[in-house]
Amino acid sequence: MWTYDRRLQYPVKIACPNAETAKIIISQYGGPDGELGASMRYLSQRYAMPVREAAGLLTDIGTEELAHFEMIAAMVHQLTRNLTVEQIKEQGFAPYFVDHTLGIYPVAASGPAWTANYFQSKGDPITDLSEDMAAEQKARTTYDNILRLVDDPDVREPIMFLREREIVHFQRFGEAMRMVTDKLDSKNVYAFNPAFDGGKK
Amino acid sequence: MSERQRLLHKVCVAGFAVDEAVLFLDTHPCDKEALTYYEKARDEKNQLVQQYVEQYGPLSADEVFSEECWAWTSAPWPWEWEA
Repeated sequence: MWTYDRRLQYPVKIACPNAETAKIIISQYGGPDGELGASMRYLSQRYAMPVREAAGLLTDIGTEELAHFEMIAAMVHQLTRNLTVEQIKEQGFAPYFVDHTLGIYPVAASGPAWTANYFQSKGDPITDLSEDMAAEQKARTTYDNILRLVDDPDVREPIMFLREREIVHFQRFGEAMRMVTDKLDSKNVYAFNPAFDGGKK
Repeated sequence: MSERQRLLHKVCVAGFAVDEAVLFLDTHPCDKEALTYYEKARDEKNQLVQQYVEQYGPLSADEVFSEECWAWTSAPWPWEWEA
């Protein structure tokens, strides 16, 4: 189960609303490498982890990603507050506005709604942890791209925090991968799938 | 930034230290230095949370001490500009 802490993991306080920026940022809410997909990926994959430490890591990072999901929503919410219809039109927000007004909905910056097709849960720890490491790098690239596009320090600071978290998570997943392979046949770690063929510890 | 916001910021900083220590310990479960760091970070966070709750209200639904009205929903939510 989960409980809610009434605070953000890192503060979001954006003085100047800007729908154009909101349109970019929202990709980390519901885009292909966003925080929703990250959380769902890790929280779904943990059941097939034969190593307890890796299952724990997926639980804790999956939980942290939900906090990031909330931070991104807070950013989009604050970037779109008090907008006039004129500003919505001028700042290119009309296509989102027509479908969702100023409500928060998980979509990619390029338009498509979030889908579970953005991640896998393959039931093989080496495969899943490889995807997780790639996912962290893809999210890091997305944050790098956001930092190339956005000048406002109120937006950049929480984005830089989130970018840094991707790098730390990548490191931790690499360590978890090592913990998994250390418990397999060192001559051929692919000899069997410990989540299916036995060898559970 | 108000006094309340300043204290909430301290809670977030202390909370982050705990979050980070937890992930590190997940993959380094017997690292003595990390275990000591975790305990210190957790105690600091708990102390700040307690101080915040006593002064400004609940940060979780089991910290609500309301005599007349349900205080959980009356303050700004964390995503609001006012929070």
